[in-house]
Amino acid sequence: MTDDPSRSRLLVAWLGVAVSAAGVAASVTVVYLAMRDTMATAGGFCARGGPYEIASECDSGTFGLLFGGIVAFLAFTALHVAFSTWARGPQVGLFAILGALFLALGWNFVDFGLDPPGASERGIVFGWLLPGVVFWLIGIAFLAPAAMRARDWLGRGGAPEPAPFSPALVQSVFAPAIPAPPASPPGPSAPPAPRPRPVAPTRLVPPGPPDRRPPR
Amino acid sequence: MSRSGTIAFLLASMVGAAVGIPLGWQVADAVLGTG
Repeated sequence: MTDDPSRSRLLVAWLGVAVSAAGVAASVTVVYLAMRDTMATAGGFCARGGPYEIASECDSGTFGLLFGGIVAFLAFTALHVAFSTWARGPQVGLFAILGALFLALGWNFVDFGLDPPGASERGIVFGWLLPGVVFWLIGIAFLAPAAMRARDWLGRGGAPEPAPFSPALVQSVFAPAIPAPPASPPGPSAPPAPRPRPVAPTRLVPPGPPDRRPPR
Repeated sequence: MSRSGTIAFLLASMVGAAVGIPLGWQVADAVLGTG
């Protein structure tokens, strides 16, 4: 395997990244609008099914958009990460996507918390404003590492990330193992066979082939 | 990945997102009947 992916592989990966990014953006938009509709028309809560009488029943379209949007979001996000990894692209997408999701959904809380729909006399609704601020904090917490990774990736000119671990500085040298004595049929008064001495490293040397190690 | 590949990668993501947002908006409008 070479360090640079082939051109055909890159083309397929770019196409996959574009399609999955479109799916992620579409599903986030769908969830954002369905959530907004639920907050504006049903007060932010609805339910369907079950044995109890439901005061605020979910519209089937809203339910389908929310459920389908979340499932599609998870699937397209996984696809985007997979294509990015396959093309050895930046490992930024997951953090950026999650950050954008929380910022978008948080805006619904903040917007309706400051200006509640259909009840202008209520003023600020802190029950919606507070989760909006929390959503934004979570979104920023995701976007910060995404921005740092993107900056590092661009600074490397698109090169893959360096290995997280450096090569070993020293290598342990073990004493030769003491072989166990040959097995003999145990007599009635024969002592138990001694156990082989446990092998432990005796010294540390720079890594390399044995003939290049320093003498004892 | 080369510098041109890096730019193409970013462009692919941005073009995908630019297509996906109005697409999702249209789907939601059609289902919710708000369009």
